Amino acid sequence: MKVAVVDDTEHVREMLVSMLVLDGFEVVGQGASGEEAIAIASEGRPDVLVLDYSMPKMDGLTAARKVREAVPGQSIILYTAYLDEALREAAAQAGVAVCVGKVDGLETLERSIAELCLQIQKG
Amino acid sequence: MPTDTKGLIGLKERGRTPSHFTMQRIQRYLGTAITMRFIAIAGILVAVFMRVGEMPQAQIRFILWIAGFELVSNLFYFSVGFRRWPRFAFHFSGLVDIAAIGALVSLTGGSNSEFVTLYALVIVFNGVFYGWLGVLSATLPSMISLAIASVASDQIVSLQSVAVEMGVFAALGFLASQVGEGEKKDRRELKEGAAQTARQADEIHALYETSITIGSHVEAEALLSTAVSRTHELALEMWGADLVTSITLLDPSREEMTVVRIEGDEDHAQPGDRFPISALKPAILERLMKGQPYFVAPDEMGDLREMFNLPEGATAISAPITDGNEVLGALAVRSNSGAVPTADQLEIMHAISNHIASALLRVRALENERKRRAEATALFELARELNAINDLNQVLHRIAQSGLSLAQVNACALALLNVEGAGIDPALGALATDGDGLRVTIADLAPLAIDEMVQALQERRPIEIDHLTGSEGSRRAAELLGVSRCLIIPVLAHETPLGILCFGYRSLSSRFSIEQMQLGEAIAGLAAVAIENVRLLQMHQDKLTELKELDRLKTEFVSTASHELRSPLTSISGFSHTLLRHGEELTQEERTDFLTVINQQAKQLARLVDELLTVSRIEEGRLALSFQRIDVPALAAECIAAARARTDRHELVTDFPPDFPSVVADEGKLTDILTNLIDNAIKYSPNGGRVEIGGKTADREAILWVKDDGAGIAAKDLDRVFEKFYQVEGRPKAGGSGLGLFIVSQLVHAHDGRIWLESEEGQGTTIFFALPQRRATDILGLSAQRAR
Repeated sequence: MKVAVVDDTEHVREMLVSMLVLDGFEVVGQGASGEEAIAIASEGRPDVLVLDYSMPKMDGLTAARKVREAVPGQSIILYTAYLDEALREAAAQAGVAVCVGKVDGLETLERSIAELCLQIQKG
Repeated sequence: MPTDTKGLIGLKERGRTPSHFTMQRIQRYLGTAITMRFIAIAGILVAVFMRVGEMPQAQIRFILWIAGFELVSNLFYFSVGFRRWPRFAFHFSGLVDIAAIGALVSLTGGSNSEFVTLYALVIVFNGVFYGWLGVLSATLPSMISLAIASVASDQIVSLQSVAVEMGVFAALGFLASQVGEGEKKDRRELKEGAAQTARQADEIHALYETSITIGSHVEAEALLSTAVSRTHELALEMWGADLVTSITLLDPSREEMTVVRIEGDEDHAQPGDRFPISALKPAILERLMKGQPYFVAPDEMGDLREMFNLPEGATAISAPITDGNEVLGALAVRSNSGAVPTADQLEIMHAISNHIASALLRVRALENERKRRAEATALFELARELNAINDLNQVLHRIAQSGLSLAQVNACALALLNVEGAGIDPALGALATDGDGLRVTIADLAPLAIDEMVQALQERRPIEIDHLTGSEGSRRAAELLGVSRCLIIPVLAHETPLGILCFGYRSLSSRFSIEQMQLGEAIAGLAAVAIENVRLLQMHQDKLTELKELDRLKTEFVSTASHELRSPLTSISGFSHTLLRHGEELTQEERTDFLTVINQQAKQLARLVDELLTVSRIEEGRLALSFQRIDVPALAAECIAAARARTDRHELVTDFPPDFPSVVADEGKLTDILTNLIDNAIKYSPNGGRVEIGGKTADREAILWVKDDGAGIAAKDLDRVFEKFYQVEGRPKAGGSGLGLFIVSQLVHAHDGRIWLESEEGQGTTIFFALPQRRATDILGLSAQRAR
């Protein structure tokens, strides 16, 4: 199962990549901005794209919309430090499959990725 | 011009004749006259009846002829004569009466007759009322008629006895005439008194009419016009031609008089002409100031003769117009032919001037009342208008314009104090003049030291100055405004001085009235309220904008802080979670890497928490500084050494001159400043490069800088980088909270220093800060001060 990680904070991105590799996922790309997210989604064709919300220039929601324009049907998980109802709603409209808060811990993220992959395989 | 007159208005001119008095007298004695006539006729008829047998026919015919003549004359007397020729009719009928009675008495027995007494009474009556002529007129016809009767009746009465009787009666009549003369004299005096009374009544009537005419006016202009023309008319009636009547008013300065109205020969003076009161002779001036009417002889004309080119020998009478206490002006009649007035005429002038004074005071009070009402309305309108204006400059201009028109001055200025309250703010204020355009602005007045402004603000009262006696600053200000006399009114808001309102007159002789001062204070009060309102509104709006911005920044901070605090936490929790779950699967190197990240992120968290605490301390004013003398190059080297542990991609250098002096500062805070700036420089030059800490000395300051050749900052962000929570948009994230430069700037300011930066996008940034050079003895005081 292929995943890609986009987060502008280097150590967080490194941590996520290490963890996902150790969990047995194939990490097909990693990036630090919205623009990179579009390129990674188009080229690496990950099953699931983990996208940070707070990034300079282009935030996660805009990036999600643009990714889904470039790659329709791309499954996206919005991974954010600050999560509220308004953001959940906006994320759903932008085509984000799941929103995961950074404080919810890595288990939630791992579980969400696994569930999404399963759905894709079934679909 | 005759000096003796028949009074204010001659009787002839009033349509009365001297015979008026004769008529009165006739009417008074009419009853007596009628009685006399009836007695005479009745007497004749009785005498004839009693002696009808004794008298010859001729005698009876004669007597009846006399009686008929008496009757005819009486009829004439009471019908036509009395109305047409009263005097003639009266005397004529009187003579006929006497002749008839004389004849009758003679015919009926002379002294033995009961008519002797009646005859004596008639003569006495004539003596009393007509004098000796009356006696003569009574006795002479009697003697003639007696002589005729005596001849006609054949010596019925002896001529001798009748002559003796006549002599006795004449003497009696003469004595009566003497008594009559005394009474006549009394009557003459009475007549003259009556004429005098009538004249005075006429004068009172004329004065009454004048006062009614003058008093009917409600405007000063019209009042003065009427007063002069009416007085002139009366003066012409009193003294004839070649007169000039005028009213002059004393200026508020009480130094000059202005001719306001003039009638008659206008070759010498015109309305609007002014003359100083010093042109009057001292004695004349004294009488004027005492409010007494006076005569001005040709040699007392003083400088006025030359000033107005008055004819030689001209005289004048003048009556001051006073309000009871003070002289307002004077009513004057000049005689070019040099007439001298009587005391009565002076009194008449005085009476007229008193009427003018009271009418003038009444009219002025009315005009004042009207003006006050108009001012109140205008002030009310102004207040309402000012309420709707939100722009301070517009408010100031509106007030200056209103001040100009309401106070009727030549210039009006409204200047506000600068922030220090020490002088005029060159950027705020308004000027207005009635002339064609201003060549100065408030900024031209701002540098002037106007002592009177300070005085007006300190004493909280209007100060009047003129360009001769004012301070140098005020003289220059007046010159710039093109005025000679100024009234400076303080503008105070709750006793706090805001600025000044200034009225100006071009002419030095124009003076400010109490009313203008009161009006000025009212406008200044309005100005204070309006200025405060606009400032409060502005402050409120600024505060609102500031609060909105703060709110936005806080929201942003919550988002940033949660992101920034959670990012290290995410890493720490993620790596520790991975280590726990997959520890055995990892190589030693991987484990070390993971633990290093955990360690770094824990430090980053600690640093963020420190920064938040520092900001909190700064905002609560709890920042305690401990001053000491610091060797800055050495401290900079330490900071560089410490920073080297955090980067291996940057060249870190110091650049200080060898004689760089030590600086008095808090060592810990200075370290924080330098570390923060170095970290910033490293953070924003991610591709490596040179970071330099330098220093130099300038005018009583030590200037330090940290320079990088990194990404630089866009011009639009330059002003805001020292703001709290401000982060340059779109910059690659480098673990900042938006607090670093804010903390640095606050720490510099706490050292009484200043901070600024130079940057160009893509070319790098240099942040400078300057700390004041202090002596060692300052250290103790500074520390104590900061501790407080």
